[in-house]
Amino acid sequence: MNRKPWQDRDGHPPADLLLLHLEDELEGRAADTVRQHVNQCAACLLACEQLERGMSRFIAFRDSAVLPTPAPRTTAFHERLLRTDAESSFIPAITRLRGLFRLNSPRRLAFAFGGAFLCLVVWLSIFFLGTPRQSVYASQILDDARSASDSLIAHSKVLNQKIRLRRGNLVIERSVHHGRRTVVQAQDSNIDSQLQQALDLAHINLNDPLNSNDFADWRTEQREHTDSVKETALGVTITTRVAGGAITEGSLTLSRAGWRPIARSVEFRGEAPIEISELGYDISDWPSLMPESATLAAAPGSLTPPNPPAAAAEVSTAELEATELDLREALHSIGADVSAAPVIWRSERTVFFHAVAENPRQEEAIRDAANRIPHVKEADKQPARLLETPPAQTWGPYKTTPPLADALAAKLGSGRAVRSFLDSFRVRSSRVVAEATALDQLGKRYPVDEIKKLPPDLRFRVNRLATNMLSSLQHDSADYVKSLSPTLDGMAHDLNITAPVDDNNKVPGCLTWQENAALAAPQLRNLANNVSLLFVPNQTDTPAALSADKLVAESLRAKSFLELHLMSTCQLFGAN
Amino acid sequence: MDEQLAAYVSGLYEEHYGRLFRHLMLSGSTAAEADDLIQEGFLRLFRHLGSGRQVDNPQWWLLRVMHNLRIDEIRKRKREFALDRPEFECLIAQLHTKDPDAEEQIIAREQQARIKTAVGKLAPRQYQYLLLRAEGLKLREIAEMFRVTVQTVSESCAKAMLELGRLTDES
Repeated sequence: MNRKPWQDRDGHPPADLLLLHLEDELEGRAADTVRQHVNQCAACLLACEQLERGMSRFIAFRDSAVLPTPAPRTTAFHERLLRTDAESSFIPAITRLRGLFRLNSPRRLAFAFGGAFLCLVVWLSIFFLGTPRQSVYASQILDDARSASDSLIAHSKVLNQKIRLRRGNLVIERSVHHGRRTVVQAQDSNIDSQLQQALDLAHINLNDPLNSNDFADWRTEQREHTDSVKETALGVTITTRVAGGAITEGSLTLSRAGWRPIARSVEFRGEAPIEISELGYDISDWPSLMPESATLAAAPGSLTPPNPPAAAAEVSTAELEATELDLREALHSIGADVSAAPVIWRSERTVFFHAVAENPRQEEAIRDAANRIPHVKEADKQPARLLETPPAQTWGPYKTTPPLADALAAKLGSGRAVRSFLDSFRVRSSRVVAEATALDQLGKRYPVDEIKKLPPDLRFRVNRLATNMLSSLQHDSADYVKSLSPTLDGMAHDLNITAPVDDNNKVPGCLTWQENAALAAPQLRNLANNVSLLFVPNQTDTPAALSADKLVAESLRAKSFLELHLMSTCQLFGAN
Repeated sequence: MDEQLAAYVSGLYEEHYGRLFRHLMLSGSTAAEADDLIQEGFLRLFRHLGSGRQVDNPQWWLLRVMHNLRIDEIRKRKREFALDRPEFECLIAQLHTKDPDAEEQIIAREQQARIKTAVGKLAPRQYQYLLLRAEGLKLREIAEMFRVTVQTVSESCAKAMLELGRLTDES
């Protein structure tokens, strides 16, 4: 079998490529190829998840380190800064002069003259030979940047950049989208006529301030100019110096990978410079970000994110599908998919959601996340058809036979230890039940057949979301079962109960994540319910029908299911 | 330069001190060295801003500057900048981690001990990359700091992350 350059012996991308893929640091063909492979490959999804888990383990380790934490001596430091400020005004000049006078020995003097001569030679060679070459090189780079930009547009991609424009005290931070067609930008209220004039002079289009073509046009317009090209590991900077006029110098920095413009600056004679820099970027497919129905024009870029379409505008099913996933991912990223139990549904044009936030802070975070996604609306309540009846639970007056609360107290040694155990148990069990329920809901929304119908990029995103959720569930369930096991097994031993053999536990072959979640959610609920009943201090009210033997046996069965299946990696991705 | 800038930098100093101090201690600096490095780093930031230049992300900028200052400092003592194996092992061995919460102490302690052992088995350079990655630096930025290729950093980090990730599966 012929292996491709990015494949290892087993035909998968090696771990370092997967990491670059996760970090979004792959570009061009490599990015597409690895993304497509990971999209289809359960083993690689698992490896990605392991990489992320490894990092979070390391962060947990770092955060758990006990280190001395001296308070910052801010006042003393502030005084030091002020002293530095006062000294720095005249010390450098004095030290430089002193440095010159130190050249008193003949050897040092010879060295200084030699250095000066060398500088002169270098300067002359740059002046007479280097400049034309640098100019040609600068033109080539700008041509490459133009081709790269055209190629992006030809592939229906959108470059989304967060940029900062600074002039003096004025700082503007905005999002810019470069694509095939972009939204017309309204005038910014922060831009006064003086700044506008300066921008016009420098050929800076506010709709796309980092556009390399604009820089190229400005450069070509300058009659007398010299170019210099400076290369670093990350980028190439073209600096054009102008002999006369209001602008003395302009520069454009392009990223080495992909020739993406990342910074531009313009120096004015007697006025503050304009500095534009990229703060962050990503590349997305055109349709997933921008609704085709939005007001569009043939402008090269925009300083604002696309506006939500007017109410009457049509939204395609594919767009709504992507929007719903955007929302699910956004809620997941702030943990609201589990703790706020969101319900999501769609109309023809809108994705609605209803969530019960844990606190005002989370409520704000949810609202903030939702507001950033077009076509999403928060609803006050969920439609009646989506209301779920909570599963029946055996709560209320009962008595255990024999009362295991006493046995628990005897085992743990004190009432305080029992309370602590039970509190911890409640927190852990409600967490895993909520996680399993959220994953189960996702599985019901995206059953295997439904996922197969999705376009590859959405299929990948659903599976990635499920992988993350399943990974948290596995991790928390493992902790939960581990914390419970010594006590539960001890009780089973004392009562002489063994885990019953149950056909339900014999799950054939590999399960999909949907099937796994559907089985795990009720098992976790049962386990939580039964264990609560076992250890809560005994009560003597009727009905007194619960048997400790039965509860322990049930709990052992649920525990065994979780250990055998939920925590087994074989069942993670099954058929998807 | 004005008092307003000094107040701004002092504010940043107060805000970032704790985190940078922890980072430097975990990188092998002593408390005194960490304090000196932080002060020097912020002084440079003050001069940098005072000269009219800008810094987009002060924390990243400071981490870079402190990293370079630390390299200079270490090079005065050693030929090569690196946490060598004995230094690194000593650092990890002396590191105490928080006691887990009350009731599952034994299990949680076991887990912590396992992770600590696994971290102790990393190559010192892998550990340093992960520390910076944990501070939010991109692989590209780490590569630039250590003057190596992104590929090198990525290979090194991926290997370490997979080892730590697998460890969790086994636990």
